[in-house]
Amino acid sequence: MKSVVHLDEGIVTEYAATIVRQADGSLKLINEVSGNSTNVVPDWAATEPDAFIGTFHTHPRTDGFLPMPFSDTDFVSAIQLREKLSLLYSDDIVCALVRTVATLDYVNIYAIKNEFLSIVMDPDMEARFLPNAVWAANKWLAKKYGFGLYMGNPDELYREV
Amino acid sequence: MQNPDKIQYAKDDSWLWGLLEVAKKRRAAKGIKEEPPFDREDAQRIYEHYKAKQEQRQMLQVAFLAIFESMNSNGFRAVCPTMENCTVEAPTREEAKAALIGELKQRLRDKLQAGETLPIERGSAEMVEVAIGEL
Repeated sequence: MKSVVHLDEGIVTEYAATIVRQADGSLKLINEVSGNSTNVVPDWAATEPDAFIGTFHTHPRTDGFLPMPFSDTDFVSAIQLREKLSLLYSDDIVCALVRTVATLDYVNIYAIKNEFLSIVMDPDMEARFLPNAVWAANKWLAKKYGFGLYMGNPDELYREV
Repeated sequence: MQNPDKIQYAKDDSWLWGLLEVAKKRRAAKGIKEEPPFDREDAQRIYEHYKAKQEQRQMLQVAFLAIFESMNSNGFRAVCPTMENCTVEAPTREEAKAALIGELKQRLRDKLQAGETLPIERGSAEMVEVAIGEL
């Protein structure tokens, strides 16, 4: 909500938090942190390894490119950090990357950047709206690296793998 | 408690945000107007388009491997066993390679336009690595 309030005030700030499993098995968001308009570093350093589930962060934008799905480095960090769940909130949409048995443990960051570039900048592609191309890149990378991928909101439940 | 197993990576979107700015300018220069809202069907169209291009590329990678396996001292015969045994012959290695690639591209285009599934026999990761190396 802070992200939305800040947007209303003309301030673009990304927020993040760490998702942890509590002793009773329930999940909780802890260690809320703020970044700047283009990045944020979740504070997972103090998280017990067994309790670490993943991260949550926001993609606020003021240029109308909303909702904005996962970025290149969102995929990279989800893989390298062994996140079981990576949640993203942008506009009124929630996106999720869910780790599976097929998810790789390591990825070359430049390989992911190249694929994002190839899809978003494809001269033949001509997306009607650039976030559509970013979502296409999300789908491609989720399939390639073995993630479950979800996008939806309470009014429109939706699942894509 | 510090967790040494977890490398710190930022959720750093600056590269993608910059990419979008470039894409936006290029598209504006070409007269393409953004048409919100977000459209899943358009995203799926883009996904399928990229997938088809990647399949073509992978096909060509496997074809390259076939080319180099089929050379001999009597000239150059380039064969792609994964594409209906597409075969071309030429006096030089480069000509055989170019002719096979041209033929494969044409066949792939024909199949894509006809809505057919591409007859791709995926090589192992090692094979593809070799093929990329040859490229």
